[in-house]
Amino acid sequence: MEEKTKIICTSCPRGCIITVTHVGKEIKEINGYTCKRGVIYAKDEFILPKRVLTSTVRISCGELPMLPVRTESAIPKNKIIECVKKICEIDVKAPVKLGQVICKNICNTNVDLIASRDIHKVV
Amino acid sequence: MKKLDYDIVVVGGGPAGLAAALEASVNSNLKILLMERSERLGGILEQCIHNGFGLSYFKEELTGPEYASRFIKEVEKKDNIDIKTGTMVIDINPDKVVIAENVEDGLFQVYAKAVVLAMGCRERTREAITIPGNRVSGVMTAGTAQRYVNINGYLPGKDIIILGSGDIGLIMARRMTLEGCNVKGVLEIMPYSSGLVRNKVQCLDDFDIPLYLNYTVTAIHGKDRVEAVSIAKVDDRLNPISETEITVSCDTLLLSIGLIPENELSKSAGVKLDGVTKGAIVDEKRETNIKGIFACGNVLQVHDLVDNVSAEAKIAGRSAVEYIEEKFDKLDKPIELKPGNNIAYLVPHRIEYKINDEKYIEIYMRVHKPMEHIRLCVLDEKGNILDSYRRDIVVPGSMETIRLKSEFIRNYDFIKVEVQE
Repeated sequence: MEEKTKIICTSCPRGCIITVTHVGKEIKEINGYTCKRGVIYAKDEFILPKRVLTSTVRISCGELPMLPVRTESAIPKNKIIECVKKICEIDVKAPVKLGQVICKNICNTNVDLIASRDIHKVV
Repeated sequence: MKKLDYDIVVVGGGPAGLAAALEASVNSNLKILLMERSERLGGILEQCIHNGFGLSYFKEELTGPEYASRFIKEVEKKDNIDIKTGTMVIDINPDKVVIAENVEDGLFQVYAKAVVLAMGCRERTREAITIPGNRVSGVMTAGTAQRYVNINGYLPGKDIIILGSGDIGLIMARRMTLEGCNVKGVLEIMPYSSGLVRNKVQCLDDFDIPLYLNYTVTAIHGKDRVEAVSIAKVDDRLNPISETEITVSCDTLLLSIGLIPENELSKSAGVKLDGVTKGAIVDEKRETNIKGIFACGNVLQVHDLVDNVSAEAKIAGRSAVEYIEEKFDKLDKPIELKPGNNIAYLVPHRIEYKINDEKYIEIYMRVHKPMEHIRLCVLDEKGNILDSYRRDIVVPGSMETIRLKSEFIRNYDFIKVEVQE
């Protein structure tokens, strides 16, 4: 049975509302876009929406109590909540370098969680 | 009192100050002093842990701390930049004597040949829009909450209402949700969101957080802590419609209702401000009415993208060097840039100098109201169109840039920029 899914394009401030007509996961038609970027965006967003997740983890012995972290690349949107719960359990110790892997292959996404700043150790 | 001499003093160690100091350092052997009131460089980027920074400047997507550290690492390597953090500048006078204080030096004076103002902006507060009700705790700006969560590791509350759909408000809606809070909704008094579309989708829609357009908070209730807020729909003139008023329980109200350039020091230096941008009136070098005092970044005009802040700060940093080395070549008379139909402001405000190698000057602007399928037109004094730039859509929340070609920088008293359908 044919279904319609609405997707708001984020490629520019206009925010076109694009309609993807599909049977299950198979795309039949894409409507409502006003430029090429819209078609590509809608396709990717329909097949597997992905986001870069950013958060913080607790850090001890550091100049700051929290270390900002990010997934090295985008992860599937439906994995975000699972990853956030995992991030809550992580404790690290200063010093930490920007780019350092904080959690390898977080929640089997094949993406590492990395530090997004240096945090020096304080004695 | 300790007295110091520097060629260039940069006030503020956020993205603008960092880029200005770095650019001045790269282009000269001048002695530069960078002063920052916080203990660390980076300014607001430190707490903006989300990604989306640097797409135009670095051609990659970075988080705030990553973007800042690219500049901090470069600045720290430079022999001709001295850095004073934990240092509060308390006065600048028109002769470019800067008075500051910190723990190490006490109160001290700096004699500067040129000053770059890069103090950034601050958030509008509850007082700025006078929401009636009790003076309870739990009412704070979105940026304050962002600092509590991302830097200090505190959660400001559990049941959240956000007033204002500025980007910081949207970003915090997502951030608080990911930290386990219940974000009940974002209210926006205007009929459109003032944040980027991307933030609306990725921060609200992704988490099913409702956005209520044409809504505002009419009262704050509670004894010591906020317990509820009254909200109401507004009419065409933005006045609340009393029949639509309802009360919603919450323990935290976050405000994302605009940013104001922090120009107290500029005023004491005698710098003239623009009533619309609330920042300095500048020429294309970002020089203010006071010779040798330059301004850049959010203290000059509130930007949407840090990439534009860095680009603008580079202009100011380079210009401070050119000013000291007397490299400026003036036009016979300055060309005023005048905002026309549906243009709220233009930066720079005037063009003072002959254009040398550059092919164009970038002009920043914002529109008053959203419009689709328009042209941004550059007009001469008689109203003839010199140049025009097509835009599919313009909105107040999204700054526009045009490149004014060098061939138009000649004997005009003024040039006007306006929106034409």
